[in-house]
Amino acid sequence: MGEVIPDSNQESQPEKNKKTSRRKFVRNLGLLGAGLATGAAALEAGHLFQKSKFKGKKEVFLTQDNRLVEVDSLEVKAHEKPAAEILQEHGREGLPGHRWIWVIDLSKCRNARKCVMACQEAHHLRPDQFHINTLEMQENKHTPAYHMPKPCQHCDNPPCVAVCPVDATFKRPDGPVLIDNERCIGCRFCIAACPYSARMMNWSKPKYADQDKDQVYNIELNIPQKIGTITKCLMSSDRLREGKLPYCVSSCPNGVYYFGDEYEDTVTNGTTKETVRLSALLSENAAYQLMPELGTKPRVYYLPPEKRPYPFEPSNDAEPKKA
Amino acid sequence: MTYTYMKFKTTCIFFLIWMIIPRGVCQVLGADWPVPEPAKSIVCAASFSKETVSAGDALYQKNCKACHGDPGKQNWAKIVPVPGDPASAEFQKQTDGEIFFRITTGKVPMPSFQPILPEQDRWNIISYIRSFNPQYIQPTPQQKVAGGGRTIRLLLACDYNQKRLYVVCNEITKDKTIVPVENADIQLLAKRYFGNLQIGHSVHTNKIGLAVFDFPQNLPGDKFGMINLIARLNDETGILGEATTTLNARIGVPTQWVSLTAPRAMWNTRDKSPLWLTFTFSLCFIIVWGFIIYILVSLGKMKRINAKVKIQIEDE
Repeated sequence: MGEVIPDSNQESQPEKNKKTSRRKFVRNLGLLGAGLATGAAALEAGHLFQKSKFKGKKEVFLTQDNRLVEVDSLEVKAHEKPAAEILQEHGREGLPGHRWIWVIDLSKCRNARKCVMACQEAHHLRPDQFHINTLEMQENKHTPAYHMPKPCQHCDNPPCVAVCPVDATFKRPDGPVLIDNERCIGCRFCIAACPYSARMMNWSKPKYADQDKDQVYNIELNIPQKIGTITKCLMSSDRLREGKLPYCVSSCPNGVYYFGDEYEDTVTNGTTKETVRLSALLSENAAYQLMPELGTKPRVYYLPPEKRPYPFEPSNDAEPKKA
Repeated sequence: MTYTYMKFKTTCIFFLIWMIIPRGVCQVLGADWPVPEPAKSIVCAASFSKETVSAGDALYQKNCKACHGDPGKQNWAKIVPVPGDPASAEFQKQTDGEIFFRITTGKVPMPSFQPILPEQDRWNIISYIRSFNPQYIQPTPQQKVAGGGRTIRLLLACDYNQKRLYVVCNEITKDKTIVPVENADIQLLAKRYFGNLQIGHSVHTNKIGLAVFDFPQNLPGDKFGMINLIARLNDETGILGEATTTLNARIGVPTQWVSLTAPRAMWNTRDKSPLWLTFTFSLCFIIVWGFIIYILVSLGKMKRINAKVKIQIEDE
């Protein structure tokens, strides 16, 4: 019998527990409900305040086709696509409606090498890597020597692009020939194919490798530079997108470079910012192209080194001489 | 005799001095580059400060240093005429108005900075140049500020029948009357991606303040032939001040953009490869794989025949 008592005790204990737990539960539910209601009210109030604070505030954006649009600041959302993907798309599409053209006036080049330095700084290159270089030229001993800046010719029939096995280097609808170092496998077929020696290989660790490590790859700037891939002149495509002249063009102190749009029949001098008709400039100065007989259709024109108002000065030995 | 000798000696000395002085200096600061009287007395409306000097420094490094070198170091470019050192006493003798006029107009080989630098930037450069002259005291701007507070208004209109563009230049006086401005130099420009292209030469307004331009020849416009035009008052002397107006007119050649990657070519992407290449590759692909499949099928056949023959031999 003695065994029954603890049994009955055991039965009444859970019953008591049940009672208290139900009461507790109802009380807790009430508290929770009140808490939630207060929280929601506070959130709503905060949201309304935020909304009223930004209401009517407009933000101005520049669209891809260069239109300025106004958007309510509440409607502004971050783009779903990651930055790397957008940069890749931009880089491949280019700027529709344009055809960039480059004119280099050899009669004005004095080997200041500001273009070379500006380019190396912009693209994070070492001093021995060139997207553009100024060369000392002399056809034969009876003709005068002159300096010739030589960037990539951005051919309309690019042999380098034809040989790329992985579609890493490509021709863009608006003119420039770019390189995607995320795709490049470093086979160097393009270096062999280019008749203008316009391409460089990142043989060793790039200059700013550590600094640029976490940067999103910008195909139009080719930064970060990557070991084992090709680097080349990009016509400063990132600057063109902003409506600015290329790095080299705007840094020249001697007015050597003209850059513009073939469709507008206009080129602008990087130094004087003088804007002239392209067709007139080419025909009046007997412009020529480099090795057009190869059928590469270069996008760069040269004006002959005539009537130079200063003597030829060979470059210093301290400076790198030729590519 | 001694008199003649002395006269000869004096002439010789003067000749030698004339030979020694760099010709360029004479040319730059001499009578070769005259500045109109009204332009000489133009002064900057704002006072020069540390900010204007540092802004001018940056502009000087970008626009002037290549030829003029660093002020005070006499390391100008070796060209003729000699660019001269802006910190030199000879240079600093010029009034602000003279320097402003020379920067604005330019003279070959010095470019005109009017289309390159806005008015305030040119004044900033002058403030930087003046910072090398401890004796310099900036003249107080009285009524001699560029434009002198005058309001000039330009109107641009297009006549498609006559194929002409008209620019009317008026001055709105303080008592709100409109007076035509005669003999104002008007430039017509077309807006381009990197800068403005001047159309033809600048034209002076006539008695009724009208300047007439012909349509530009074969100038490409957008796909409808539209061109953004800008008429600008080219006021080198700074008497009238600055004024511009714009117009979007259909006076260009309609230009249709064609992508450079549109044609089929060896260098283009796979979907735009030459047809002969696609055809040849497909044919080779079919032949090679066809041959391999043919061999495999034949081998299978042989195996089956072999099995049959084996059974026949065993039966016998």
